[in-house]
Amino acid sequence: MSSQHQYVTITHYKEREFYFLNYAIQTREGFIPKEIEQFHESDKSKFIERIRTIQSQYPNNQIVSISLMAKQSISQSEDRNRASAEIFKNNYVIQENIDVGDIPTTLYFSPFAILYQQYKEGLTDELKLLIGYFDRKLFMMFATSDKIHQSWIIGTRGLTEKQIAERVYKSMQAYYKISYSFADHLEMLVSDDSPKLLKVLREELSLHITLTQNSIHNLLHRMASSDEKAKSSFIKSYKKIEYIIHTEASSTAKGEEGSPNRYERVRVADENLEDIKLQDQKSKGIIEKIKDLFRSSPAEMDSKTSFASLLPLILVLGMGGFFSMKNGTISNELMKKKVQITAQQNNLKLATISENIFHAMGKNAELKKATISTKGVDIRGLVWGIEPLKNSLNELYAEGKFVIKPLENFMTEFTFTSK
Amino acid sequence: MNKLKSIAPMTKLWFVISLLVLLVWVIPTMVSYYKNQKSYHQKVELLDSLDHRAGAQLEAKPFHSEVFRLDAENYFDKVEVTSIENDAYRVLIYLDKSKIDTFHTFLKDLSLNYAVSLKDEILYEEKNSTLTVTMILKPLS
Repeated sequence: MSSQHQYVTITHYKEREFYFLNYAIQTREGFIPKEIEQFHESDKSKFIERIRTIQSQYPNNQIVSISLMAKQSISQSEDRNRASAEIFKNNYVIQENIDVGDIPTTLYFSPFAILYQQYKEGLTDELKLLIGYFDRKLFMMFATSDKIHQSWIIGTRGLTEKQIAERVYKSMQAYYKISYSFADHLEMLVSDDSPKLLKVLREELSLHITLTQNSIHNLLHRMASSDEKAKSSFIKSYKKIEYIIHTEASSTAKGEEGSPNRYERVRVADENLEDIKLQDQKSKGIIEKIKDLFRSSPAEMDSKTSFASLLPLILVLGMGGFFSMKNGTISNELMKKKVQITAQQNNLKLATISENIFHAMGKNAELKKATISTKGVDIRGLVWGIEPLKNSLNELYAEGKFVIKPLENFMTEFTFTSK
Repeated sequence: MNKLKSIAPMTKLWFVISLLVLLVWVIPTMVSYYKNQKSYHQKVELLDSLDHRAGAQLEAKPFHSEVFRLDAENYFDKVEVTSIENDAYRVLIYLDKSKIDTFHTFLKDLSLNYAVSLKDEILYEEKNSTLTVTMILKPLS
């Protein structure tokens, strides 16, 4: 069977400073895990590169991880503002955000979701305490078949097994406000080998604890093995997980890659999120292609962030520049209007004075020369009606100096100067 | 508060600088712009009230000596425009003294039709019924 058609689950998580990576071939009869690989956090790029390599080798895949955040809780309603996953009807696990960073992930499970999947078959009307021990944290919940009543998380780093057991006991009382003994049964799922803790818990709580031990990788492979389980992921998968019976071969041997009697996933149109991304790229329109030019890889996010921090300053400078330019233009126009108004008012005054002077002279005089300004007038001419002219001019300029001078040709010259 | 603390120092610094620029430069410029805009509209209204021209109310056109001369000769017998010192022009208008009212109308519309200011002094001289009006015009920049 070609690796192109094999359904593979790639699992990863981070514990302390190490990334752990594994992948498994999924078959109808179970999954066949490969060797676990370990990367130091300083080799993150190699770790991501390795995921990409497995992906290219097995295009039909899901990349699965676990959220080990200490702030997760179970709620009876979905919170659309935060990352939420439906564990079962009206029971949601909620956390602040999906913190996978730039590591490829298509399914992302809460330990609570894993815990529920592990024990859901055994849930009845009797109250059970389910405890999951992941990454030195205890994920605990009281559950019956219809409801998860309460959930909480206890950190165990630096505590002895006895102290952990005491905290489990106290928190049971505090969270549920009843004695732990009201829990009819305790189930515990541990992701690493800790027999001492189990022993102490059994002693301290004086209860029989059913233990299931499995690795995080195996739990995740199982969670991604079917749609029914996968739908409790924080990241919503858009594809359906299905199996078909491969009929060409008869061997029932389980395990080896390429084994002929393997059940494999049907390649439906939207097999996995990564495939969807690839197909989307193929069918992208011009607009999307243009948008791609401006998209950047996660490695470029830092420079984007610094640019984003400059954005307010750029906006402020842009706004300032715009208003400065507009203000310069309007100031210039305003100045022109002011000068024009002053000139126009001055012209109107001069025209009025001139009109008045000519009107005052009328038929009583004839102008020879005149200087007219808004400050005063100086007129010289010939006069025939001395008194009417004098009176008219004095009406305009009360303190004006009116002088007449007889000429040799029996005519009379007048001068008038305003003060 | 924790979110604020988690913001990078450079981001905070840019934000503070942005705020300072906004307060010290942008907002005063905006206020000045809107004040000037209001004042401009008031001046336009004032100028409209001074404008008694008949027909289309055209914007004052830039002063050009030859264009001005040709325009003015449509109303008067002869017009001479001479460039003098300080970017000014001496304008001599020759007209029949009976047409003095035409000159007064011309004078009233002068700064509405042309972007010019008139020196506050007009000289009239009359010889043989022809009135010579001398005035100094200065184009508005």
